[in-house]
Amino acid sequence: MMKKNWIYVVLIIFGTLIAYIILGDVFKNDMQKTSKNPYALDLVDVRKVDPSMIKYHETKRIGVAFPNPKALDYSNGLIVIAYSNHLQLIDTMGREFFNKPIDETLTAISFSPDGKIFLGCKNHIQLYDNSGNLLQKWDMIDSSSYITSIACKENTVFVADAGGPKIYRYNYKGDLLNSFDGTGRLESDYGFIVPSAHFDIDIDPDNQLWIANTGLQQIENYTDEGILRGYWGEPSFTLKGFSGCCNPANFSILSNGSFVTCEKGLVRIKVYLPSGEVESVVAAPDDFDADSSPADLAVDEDDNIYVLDVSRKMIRKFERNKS
Amino acid sequence: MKTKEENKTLERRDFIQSTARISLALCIGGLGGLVASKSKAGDYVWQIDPFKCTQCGRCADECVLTPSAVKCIHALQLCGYCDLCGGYFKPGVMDLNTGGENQLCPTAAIKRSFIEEPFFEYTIDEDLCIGCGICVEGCSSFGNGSLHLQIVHDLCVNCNQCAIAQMCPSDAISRVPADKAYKVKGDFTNT
Repeated sequence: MMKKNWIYVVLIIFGTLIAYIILGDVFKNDMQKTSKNPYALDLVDVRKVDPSMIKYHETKRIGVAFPNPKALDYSNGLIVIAYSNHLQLIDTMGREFFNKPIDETLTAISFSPDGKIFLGCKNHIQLYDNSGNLLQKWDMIDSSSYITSIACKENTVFVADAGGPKIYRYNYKGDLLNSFDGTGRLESDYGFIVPSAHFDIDIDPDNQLWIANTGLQQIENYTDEGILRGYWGEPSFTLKGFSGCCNPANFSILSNGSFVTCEKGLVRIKVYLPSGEVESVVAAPDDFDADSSPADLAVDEDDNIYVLDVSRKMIRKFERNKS
Repeated sequence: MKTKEENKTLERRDFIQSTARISLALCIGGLGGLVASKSKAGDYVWQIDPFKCTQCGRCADECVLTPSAVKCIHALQLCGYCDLCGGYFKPGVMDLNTGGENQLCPTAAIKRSFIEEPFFEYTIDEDLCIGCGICVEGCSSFGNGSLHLQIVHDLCVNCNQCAIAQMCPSDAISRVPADKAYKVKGDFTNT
């Protein structure tokens, strides 16, 4: 009887010891797994924005209906959204007019001045009416093409191809008029430098073409024929410039010719004067999720700014503060 | 004096015994060889999945080697060759030059070289790199994510249980076949 008790005691001691070792190991690993990273990148200072620079506030949020929203555009109270495989037209209250599955990879979208919808389908363009009916399908640019932006003006459609990288100019029938790669500038011959698929274009109120040369962190003005007329922009972590590579990832132009820009990496939305000086901040980095993708932008006739927040899956409307 | 019959019996016994010994030795040897070949370090090695890595910093400190066998790798085909490199410069830096106070890397293991206007190339000095991943975090935050961490196999001692893998909070380290020992971005995509 005495001998049996000893066996139990020994077994209990062994069991306790094994449990202590196992649990100790588990807790030790868990503690170390959640311990602070001594090499962590400190972005606190660069994410800070002087509150006096923030001259916009958020007034509306519209949830998006499908996965993977890619781009949006605004015209006459309507917002058109390109998802990776879906096209949707809504109004500014979020009411849907139509949605249409598209058997293509959608990468860019733009309203034409007459309200039709140009859709960038990776390497070719499709044209839809505002009921979602396909009107035209243009020839493929190139198998390596990746259309990142479309900008329209009277009789002309500009298409930005990050795969080139090149700008293609078409008429509304889809006939290619010319293309250019940004080379031929005086000081050097490097042309467009597009390190990743961020290559945005837009038309200003004077019908001039502006192109984000993202590898140079510049926004450049070109003639329709591809002659460089001017540029502004510089690389900088501070508010005055564009941080990292491939910026500004997206931009749009206000009615007074000012530029609204959105950056990747340090996602922030700013307004620059036509001369290139930073004027105000629309949304600071802290207004976005930490790992957010750069947001596509559109502006309405009152210069309100619509931001496609891919991470939060919503369209966010920003209005300028009343001064 | 042994008779011829006795000698014959002994020879038969010796023969049986030695045959049994040889068979046993062959069995043990074969089994050992089989086990050794199965557990040979060359078959599987530890590697980091760069798409799972969260640059937690543990690769620098948890490896049994000092400095760590984890090093930063640069997928040049993904790099933008930018002047303002988020993997090279400290956030908020004012001057884009190679001054030590501007560099993000704690050991100055990244070399910045001017190629031609407007391109700069960034290369890693493997001897200086400690695998802390701060440059990877900077590159992912501001650039294309061309900098990433990999376990370098001419340094790695291929422990049965990788000390870093045990501590990795994102389970980014796993055994991979030795003939596909690296998961270099650009060659491998997160599909």
